Amino acid sequence: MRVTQSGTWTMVRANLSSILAETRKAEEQAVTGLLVNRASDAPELRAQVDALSAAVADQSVYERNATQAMSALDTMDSALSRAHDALTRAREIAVQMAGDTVSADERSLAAAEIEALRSTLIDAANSDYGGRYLFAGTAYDALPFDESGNYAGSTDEPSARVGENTWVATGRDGSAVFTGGIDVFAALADLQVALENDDDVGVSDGITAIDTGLDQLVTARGEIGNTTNVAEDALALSESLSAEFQTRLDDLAAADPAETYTKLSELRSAYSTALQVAASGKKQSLFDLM
Amino acid sequence: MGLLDALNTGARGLAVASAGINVTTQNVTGAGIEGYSRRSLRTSQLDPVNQRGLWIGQGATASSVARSADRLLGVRLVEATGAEGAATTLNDSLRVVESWFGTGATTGLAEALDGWFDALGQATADPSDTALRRSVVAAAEGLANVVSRIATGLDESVSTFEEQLGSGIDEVNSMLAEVASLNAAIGKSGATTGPGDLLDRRDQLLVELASRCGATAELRADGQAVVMVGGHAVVSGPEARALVAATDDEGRVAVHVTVDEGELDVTSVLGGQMGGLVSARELAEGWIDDLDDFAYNFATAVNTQHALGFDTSGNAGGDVFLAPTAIAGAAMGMAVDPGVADDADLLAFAGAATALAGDGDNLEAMLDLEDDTTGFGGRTARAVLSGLVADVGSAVAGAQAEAEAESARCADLETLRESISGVDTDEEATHLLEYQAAYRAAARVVSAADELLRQLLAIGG
Repeated sequence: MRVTQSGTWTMVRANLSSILAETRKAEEQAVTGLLVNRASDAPELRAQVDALSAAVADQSVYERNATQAMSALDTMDSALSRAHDALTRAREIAVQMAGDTVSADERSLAAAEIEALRSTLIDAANSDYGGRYLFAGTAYDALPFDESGNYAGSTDEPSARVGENTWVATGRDGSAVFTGGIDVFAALADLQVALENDDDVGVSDGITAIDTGLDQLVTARGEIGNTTNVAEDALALSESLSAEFQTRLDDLAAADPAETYTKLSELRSAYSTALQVAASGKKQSLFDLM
Repeated sequence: MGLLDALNTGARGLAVASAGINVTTQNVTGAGIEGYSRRSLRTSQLDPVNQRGLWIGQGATASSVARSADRLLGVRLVEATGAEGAATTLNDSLRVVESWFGTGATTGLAEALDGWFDALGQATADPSDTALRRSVVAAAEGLANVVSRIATGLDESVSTFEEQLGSGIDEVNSMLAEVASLNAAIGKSGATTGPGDLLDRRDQLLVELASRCGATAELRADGQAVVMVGGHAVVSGPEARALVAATDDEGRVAVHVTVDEGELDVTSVLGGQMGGLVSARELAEGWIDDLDDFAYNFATAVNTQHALGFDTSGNAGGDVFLAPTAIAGAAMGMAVDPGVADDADLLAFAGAATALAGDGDNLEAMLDLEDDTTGFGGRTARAVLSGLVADVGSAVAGAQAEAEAESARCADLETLRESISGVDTDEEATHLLEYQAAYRAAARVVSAADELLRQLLAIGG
């Protein structure tokens, strides 16, 4: 087959163009760190890449929600702890004030402390997290308990999505916690009245009511603890899944830096060689020797 | 043989060598001209004459200038050029279309859809939170903007393809007329070899026509070319029939050929660049339809679910996205309802009209649309968009592979043509040296004969 100068130059041009095109692609992969930079890069992987990207984003939302829920639950637990402390102190006072040896004056003084403890209890029940009242159910934008201990919240509980099929309560129905089995506010109010009236029987009844209220708070704290465990598990799962999905996404779409730079180096070397070959071609002509 | 015969034979040698140098010069100067076919000098010996019992040769004469070309290869090259033109144009056009879908591992569509559902997911933490509600509105606007921008971009691409398709027709017609004119001139030359320059120009035009519209060619025995578009002869002998820009039933640019009975639509069978544009247009239109389907179904599904909920004031939900009135154009017109865009409190996340801050029952139902397959033919919204982007990617990757394959086939045929018709300057240099030597020898013969004649005349004088 005859070989002509024109054919040789055409081949040189085609090779240079081909190497340049490959170099551009390798440069893009090196700069972006991605093998898949556009729809036509591995379209057969598109569904997988999109699904994994979405899964990573979903896990990120679950992580944020779980973290936020855990903070809210932690605040609720603290509030219940304060409430429990207040009731415990009220019980101590009631026990001290029970019996025939306590004077009316002493009981009157104790009644004032019980009133203060009741205010502490209501404050705890009105605890908020970032402006959200934690014991107001879904009506968390308004104070759930008034000074008399009347509940204005909702019996529905708000919840946040912390997993594909996992939701955790981020607030509680305050009526179930504080005024459900026994109304702890009313119990303290009754105890205060009994102390003011020097009513020994009333004080004894108050101890019984406070014991029931304490059980109620312990149960609520237990439930919050369980919910916290669910949120913690969900957070751990999300973190684990997020890392796994990201790894799989990297395996699919990320470029290996070492491989990319090696390829880029090879292509640049090939281009340099092709240029040298092209430059040497012009010297080889019989006309130059005539 | 007399001295005068020697003088004449030498002069003929000079003429042949001179013609050879001329042909070589033509080849050397034509080496860089696209479509040029190498010429070679054909010579023939003159009949010898019998002089006193001896057969004496009369030398040679330049009989013709041959053009090195393979007709079958030329026809194959025309066909391959048409296929390459179509594949390359489709690839280039789809690259532009692909750019509308964005870059990065995750394309804009998927990111925007994920952004919408992620914003809803975050809002479950506090359905009444103004910042989270604004995030949901922003995500809805982001999704609507991406869908609308891509649909608009695809529509602009289709318009560009249409313009290019229509604007190429005049140039094709001009080339068809020139081929017809060249046919006439070649016919008048009366030989299949014809004047080489005309044949070179004609063959070059056939390749360009193939590249433009996928025209194929048949070379007749008399050297003239029959040019066909979509199987219909548009040049036959000295007659050319023009392509006509028309409009099809859907108002799109169409290409017709004129026939005896009127006009025939050949849009779907065009090759070359015009064929590539037609293919790119059809693909882009299909993707616009897919995007319209998605936009219509998604906006409708979201609005329908949203209408079942209640906003922060306890009012029933309105539209999140502007309600599409028809599937066609739904993507380009996708936008967030101005009311919701201005006031995120209108988002109806609550399941009851009691306006409780933490009521996210309808928000949860809206979130469930992520896995809902009823509105999208058994697939989720994400699967629909992933499928669309995968379709685009596959089409672009396929077009690129096709373009590379056709370019390689064309390059092979070009190389083959070059090996037959191309000019090798070294080869021409040797021819030049050969003709130079022949010229010098013939000149020496003429000079010697001239000297002998002078001596003879001096003796006689």
